[in-house]
Amino acid sequence: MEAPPELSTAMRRGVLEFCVLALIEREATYGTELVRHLGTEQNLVTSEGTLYPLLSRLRRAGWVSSTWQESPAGPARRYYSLSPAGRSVLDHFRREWIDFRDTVDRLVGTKT
Amino acid sequence: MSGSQHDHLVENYLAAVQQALHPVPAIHRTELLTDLREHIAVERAVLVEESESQVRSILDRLGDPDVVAAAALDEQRYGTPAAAPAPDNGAGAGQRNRRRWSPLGLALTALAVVLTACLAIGFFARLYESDAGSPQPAPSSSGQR
Repeated sequence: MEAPPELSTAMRRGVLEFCVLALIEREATYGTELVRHLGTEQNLVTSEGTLYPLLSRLRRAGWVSSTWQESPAGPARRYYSLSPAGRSVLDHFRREWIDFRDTVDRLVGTKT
Repeated sequence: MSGSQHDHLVENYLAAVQQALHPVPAIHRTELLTDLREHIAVERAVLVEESESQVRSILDRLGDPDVVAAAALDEQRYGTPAAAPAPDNGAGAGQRNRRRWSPLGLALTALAVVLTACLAIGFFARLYESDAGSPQPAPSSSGQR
């Protein structure tokens, strides 16, 4: 029995960006590393390349800042870090998420 | 030995993404292609001795060109970030998400206001009219039993 694929797509759409924000919260990370990390998490992304449009949007929204840094090997890398606006959004999500998760768990019967 | 012999794999891949990105605005298309190109270059740079299968594996992990392009389209469609919450303290110096009224937005709002006013006037006019006439529709006399 397989779940309809749209379900996981819709769920991902809602939370993926906050996972990205949380991953760069502590230290700036370059795109390739960030994308590889997320790619190894289960059920989070379909493929690494699909994350770049999301990163572009987060840049445009001003939730992440990016800077180019030289690398000892290969081309310069774009490092992503959390902007003050991104931090505020992430804090807000964390509060909302706890309530949201509790409500869904209670209604769906997955509360442990 | 030089990786450049596998460049054509990369170029073919990027060309396929570009093709699939046709419906996406040019500025976003260029941005995504630049990001993908950089990703591939960074991944290739750490390979000691690059083999064809390693390059293919980098491209496979990036994903099918159609799937990557679909993600870009998806961002176009659903990707307007939710309104950022107001900063918790007064020192939200970094907030850049202030909303600005575009001229088009203003025009549309004005139009909506005018339309609503017209509808409201029409509605009340009708209400008065029907008040002046019979207050209730006469019960139909066709009912049996």
